Amino acid sequence: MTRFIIKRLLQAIPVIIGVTLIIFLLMFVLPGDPARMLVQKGASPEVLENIRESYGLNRPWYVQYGKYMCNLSHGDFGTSIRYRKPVLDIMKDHYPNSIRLAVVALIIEALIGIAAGVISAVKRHSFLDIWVTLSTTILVAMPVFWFAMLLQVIFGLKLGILPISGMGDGSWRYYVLPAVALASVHTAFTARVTRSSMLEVVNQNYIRTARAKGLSEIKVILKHALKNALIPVVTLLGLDLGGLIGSAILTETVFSWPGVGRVIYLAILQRDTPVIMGGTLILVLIFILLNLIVDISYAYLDPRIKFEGQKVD
Amino acid sequence: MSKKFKLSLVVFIILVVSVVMVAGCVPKEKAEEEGKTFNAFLMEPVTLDAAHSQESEGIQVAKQIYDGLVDYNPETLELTAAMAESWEPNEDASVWTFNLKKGIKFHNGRECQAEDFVYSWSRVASKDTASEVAYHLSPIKGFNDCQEGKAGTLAGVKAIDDYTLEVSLDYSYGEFPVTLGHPVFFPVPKEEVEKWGDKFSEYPVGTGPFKFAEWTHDQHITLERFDDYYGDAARLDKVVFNIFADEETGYLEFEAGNLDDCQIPMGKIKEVQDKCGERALINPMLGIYYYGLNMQTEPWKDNVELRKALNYAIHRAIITDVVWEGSRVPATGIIPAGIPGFKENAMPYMFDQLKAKDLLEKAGYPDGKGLPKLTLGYNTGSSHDKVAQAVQAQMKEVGITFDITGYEWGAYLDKIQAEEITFFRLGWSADYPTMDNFLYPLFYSENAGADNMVYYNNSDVDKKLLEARRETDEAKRRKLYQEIEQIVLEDAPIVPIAFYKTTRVIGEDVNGYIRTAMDDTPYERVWFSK
Repeated sequence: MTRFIIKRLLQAIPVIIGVTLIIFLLMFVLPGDPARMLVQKGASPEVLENIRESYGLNRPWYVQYGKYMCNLSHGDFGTSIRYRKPVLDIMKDHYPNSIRLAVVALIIEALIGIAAGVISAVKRHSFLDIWVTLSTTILVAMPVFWFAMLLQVIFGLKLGILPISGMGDGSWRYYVLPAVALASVHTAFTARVTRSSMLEVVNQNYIRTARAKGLSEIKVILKHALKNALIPVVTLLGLDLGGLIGSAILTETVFSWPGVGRVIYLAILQRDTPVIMGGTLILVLIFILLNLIVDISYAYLDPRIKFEGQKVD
Repeated sequence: MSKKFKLSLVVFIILVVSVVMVAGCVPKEKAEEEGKTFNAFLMEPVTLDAAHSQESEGIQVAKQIYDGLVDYNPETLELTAAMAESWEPNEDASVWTFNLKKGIKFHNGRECQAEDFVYSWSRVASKDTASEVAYHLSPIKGFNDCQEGKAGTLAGVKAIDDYTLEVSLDYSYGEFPVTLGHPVFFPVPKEEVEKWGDKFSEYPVGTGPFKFAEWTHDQHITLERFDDYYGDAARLDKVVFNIFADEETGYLEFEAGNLDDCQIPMGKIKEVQDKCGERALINPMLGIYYYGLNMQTEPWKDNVELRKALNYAIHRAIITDVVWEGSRVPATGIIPAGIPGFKENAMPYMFDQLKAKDLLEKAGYPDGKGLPKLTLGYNTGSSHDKVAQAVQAQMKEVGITFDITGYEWGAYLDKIQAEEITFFRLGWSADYPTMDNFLYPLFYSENAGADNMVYYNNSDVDKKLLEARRETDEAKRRKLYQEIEQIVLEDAPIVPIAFYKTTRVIGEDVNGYIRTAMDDTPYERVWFSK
């Protein structure tokens, strides 16, 4: 187990180098001068050169990249060009908020998505199945920002039972609307995947055997069918957490949630390379960690899967 | 009961009734609710460090925390004294002496003296600070040495004594005091800057009516009343700037009663005006929206008739009313209303399609025939595409056809500067309420490629601009600037489209609220009625 984890973590090093190199090169290819973006007025050549000099922007890309990686190895993520403060401070301010919101959204996604998928599969072709299929289709088709605004107007403005925006004092009430909006599309996918996976499993012989043994239907579904149907769902959910953090920009904007998605988006617009690099790197690390957790959870769900990656029959 | 007593009683009753009646007729003074918190709308500022104040959000907060030598009357924008008691120039306005008020304190309790200005201005000019707005100090002697790293202190700024500041300029500049209302000139205490280093922006200290309390990024900035403020103390206890990612969400919070002021989202202006009446503050703002024509490139170069034709072909009021819902006014010149000394209807170009066609023919392109393929560039977002489409349709009617292309802001500025886009949209908002601030940056030939994106070069205008800057007589100076504006308009290097307006709405119980033409609010004047 420990060997497996160390091996996987070592594999992350080339991934990190690859990701940083690609982003760095992409930022160089993109048109737009960070110094010019910073100076809105009075941008004489001398002023621009001064700014470039102070951030080392006038050096060749490989020198800048080398310096960045050298600093990174000492835990220094650099300084934001726009905000003139350490990138790590910006990340510390925003990442925890994004992670918390993503976790709540993931819980909503898992609870509702799996429950809807199971019900839909068990009651195939029933009214409930049609209802789940229809609502998941609507959820997938609905633009997230529109759904988010709808939630704000109904529950925040008209009914006045939930906060409209922001994090306020950090109480659970502030999480409800953004988490529901963020989870909406993902919940629909989880319900669909759970449904198909369950449909495959419920026709297997061992389910028929379990029923023949006289087990109750709930036990058959929850203990025998669902556990086996969960592998693709767990993969989806595991990777979704990273996706929920990285793709929450619309939700963060509509709800003015102080998350990292918007920070990275603005950094791209402003060509603030250190912030883009820092933000993306942390997201890559989260994905690597989540993949590891997903792999470990496979062994729990299916004991035949070993950490070395060999499946034993 | 004696007769005398009866008479006295009648007189007394009449008096009491009269007083009550009179009191009933006089409009009631609104009762003030003391010690309240004002919840304001804001988007996340980049910095609260005065040395880097360049974007509107940061400036709005900075103006509450810091104060400068001078200020502007919020209603007229005329220059008023702030930390300086008085000031006077030498004969040719190249040396200015400011007499500071005594007993002004920083929020940390220390008195602010002349030496603090020497330190703060030198800090802005220093190469190490790499301030994006350092150029405001460029008239001061020694600025270039500081920028190049040859000097640490601005040679032109001297503390004669604790309360006398002498500023020597490289040239005569009659309007120099007006520029000092920009936050980049606001003093900061050296000990606090040294204590916090790069994090001073997170813990700003000034001499303003409110002191900084807390900044939780992307959530809120809290300011508290500074009780030792040298001017009239603020009536509010606190101002909380609630930070939003977009105006729509802010407006929902305003509707729910959680905000006391808010920016009105585009597309909602008429609705808010109908709903809130006078509480919707749609007032003139110091900014111009224009289309630039690169004067160095074909077909604009040496073809004033063509440039004028464009100006005559546009029906500005249709654009401001339809696309902007009245949140902009048709441009009537280069300098907008609100700037002291601005000239009404300076622009000679009213909508006149016949004249446009006539000029087009004189320009060598009858009915637009022979015109090279033109492309109008704009930066994506903020309805720029809709304005471009409207202008495109109007120009087509006189025979001027062109494509329109949207660019992402970063790439857009690069392309304009590199003269790849030669017909483009840009805007300009005032740093300080002077006519010079609209004419010198945009049309002085040495600013070509920087703020003068149209590469305008007219030696007569250059000469007059320098002359106007040297002029100390206000009336003469204003006349000169009006002349310059007229010359530039006749040369038509730009097509002025509209002047900006403030689009703010305030709560029902808010009093004393002014949204200045510079789009900020002196919150120290605001109070709530019960």
